[in-house]
Amino acid sequence: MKLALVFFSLLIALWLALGATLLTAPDGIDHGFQHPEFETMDRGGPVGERRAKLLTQAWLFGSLQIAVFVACLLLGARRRGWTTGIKLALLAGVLPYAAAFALVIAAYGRFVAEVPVAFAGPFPIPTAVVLFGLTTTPLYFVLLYIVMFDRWIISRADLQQFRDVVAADRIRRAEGD
Amino acid sequence: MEAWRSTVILVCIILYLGMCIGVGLWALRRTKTTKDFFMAGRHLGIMVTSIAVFSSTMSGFGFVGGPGLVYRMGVSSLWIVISTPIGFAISFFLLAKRIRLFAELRDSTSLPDVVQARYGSRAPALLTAIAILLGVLGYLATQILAMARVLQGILSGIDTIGSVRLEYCVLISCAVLVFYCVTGGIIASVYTDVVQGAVMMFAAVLVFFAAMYAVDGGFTAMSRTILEDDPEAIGPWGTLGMFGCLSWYFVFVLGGAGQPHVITKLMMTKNVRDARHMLPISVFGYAITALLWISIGLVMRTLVLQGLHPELPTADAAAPQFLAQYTHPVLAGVVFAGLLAAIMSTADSFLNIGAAAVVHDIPRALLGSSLKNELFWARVATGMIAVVASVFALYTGGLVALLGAFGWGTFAAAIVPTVAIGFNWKRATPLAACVAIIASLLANFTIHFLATNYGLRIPGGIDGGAVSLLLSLTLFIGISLATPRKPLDPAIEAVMDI
Repeated sequence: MKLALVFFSLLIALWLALGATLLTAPDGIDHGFQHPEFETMDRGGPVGERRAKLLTQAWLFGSLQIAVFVACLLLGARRRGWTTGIKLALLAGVLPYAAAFALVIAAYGRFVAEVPVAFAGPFPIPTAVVLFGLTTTPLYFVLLYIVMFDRWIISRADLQQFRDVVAADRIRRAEGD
Repeated sequence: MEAWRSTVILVCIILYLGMCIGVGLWALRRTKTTKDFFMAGRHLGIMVTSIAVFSSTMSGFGFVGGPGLVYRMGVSSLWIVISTPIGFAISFFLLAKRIRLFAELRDSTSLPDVVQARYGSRAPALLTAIAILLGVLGYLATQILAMARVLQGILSGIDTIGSVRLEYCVLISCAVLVFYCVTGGIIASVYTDVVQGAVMMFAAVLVFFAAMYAVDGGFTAMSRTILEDDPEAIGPWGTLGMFGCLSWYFVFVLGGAGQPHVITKLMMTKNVRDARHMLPISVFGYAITALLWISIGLVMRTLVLQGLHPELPTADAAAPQFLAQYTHPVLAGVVFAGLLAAIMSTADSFLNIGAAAVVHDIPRALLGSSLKNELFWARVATGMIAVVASVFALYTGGLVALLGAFGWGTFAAAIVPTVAIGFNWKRATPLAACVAIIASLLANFTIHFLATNYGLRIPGGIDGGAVSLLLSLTLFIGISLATPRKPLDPAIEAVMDI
């Protein structure tokens, strides 16, 4: 029940963050337009300054999404007798994930202002953080799923319990017929 | 070799299509019951299921539309690609165990079957089946159109064949697709997915290196060329913008758990504990195939900006033109086969779940029982759905685009709350499920209709599917919390405790 309320509150917060951004943002917000030379391409153009004013809203919108995603993981891991350890282990994954997202926002703030643009590998720093940071940090949850599968997801004892439930259900339904 | 480029490509395609027909014939002997046709008898192994999961996710949208998006918008669509690890993790945490256990408990043969078992009510199952059928028709039509256009492009490059009408290309590609889906059902579908997934991975790695060497200086030089023209295009949000990218991230991360053609595969595994190994294999497979998405888009944008390649007629021409002009003919042949594979691996799954909706789910929800001789009617329905989707694809113009765009968002908004959340939360009620599905269909259709016909779009490039998903999730949880809890079937409750 508590997790559902947290989930619901996060969704309401997402609506508020989205609504506030749409109501207060400058016209057109921050998306680009058709490239002046090549009509099948788009161009961002000089939107960096406008986007820089919306960094806080973007950070809030993205961070709330991360919170919703982790709430989904908690919901999926929840079962009878689940322990604080499961919750803490999942919540621990939020820190690097949210930090990577905050770094994207911060690095983009610098990207808009700095000349020349700094690179990390083949891409500008904020793009590299998206590609390498936001791809790798959620792998923690994939790893948890693999490593903790027997304890969190389904053990051999759980499987036996399930078989008992199936057997009892078939008897019950046969008697019902 | 260069002089024979088109012929080499055609030979690769013929070999690939021949393999699909072969798998169909092989699977025919293994398909004896409806459960075999729709659920592969629930005895798929780890590798087969994992590859089927990722190859069904990476559709023609990824192999044709993905590079086109990067060409047009810069790195905006990177946000779709990077949704993979967290998206798959959420799908597996929420569904891999639960949906498989429900399916075994009630011997279910489709997603609406397990929805009916979970909620103890026919209404959410009927609405789920209708949402699936609507999404399938739209999505399948776009896949068929993409498949026919790829074939048309290949055939038109061969002098002795010349220009071929699109209708004939639809006929040829659909004939192969329908053949193996009708004969072998989901067994043919998943085993062709395995070959298709392997071809896609192989093709993506080769294309990645071909793209890297197509521009002097590799990806760094590409970034710098794009940066000089427009810094935002190579910035983290591309030209779409922050809120557009974040809304894509939202709908693709959570939406993965609502794609029926993907999550039904989780019901087909031999052992529920296989999910442990399937998650990393699926993530790895998808990540590898996504290399093609990013690399072709970047290289084509760079080549056009540098004046080394003429402007593309459409953004979606990025992948075909790159393959046609910058790769070895054999590689082009393999990748074109991979491209068809990407499209067909999704289309075959759609045909299967669409047929299940028509002959199994809707009759069961309305009449309380399935059709007699269900296996026969499943085969008929598979063919009929392909015909209807082909007619949609060829003769309804803008409607196909509308329904195609409607596809992913429809599935995400309608199915994520009802299935992904509702299967893990005992408090969820049938009423909330029905309202969420109806609201998601109405919201998605209205948003896309207004955008397509009147140019009215949500400001900031925010994706309509994201808004619909947020709406359906909010309604689902809000209504469940506000209405009395419905008692659960004891066996369902016991399974939800595991």
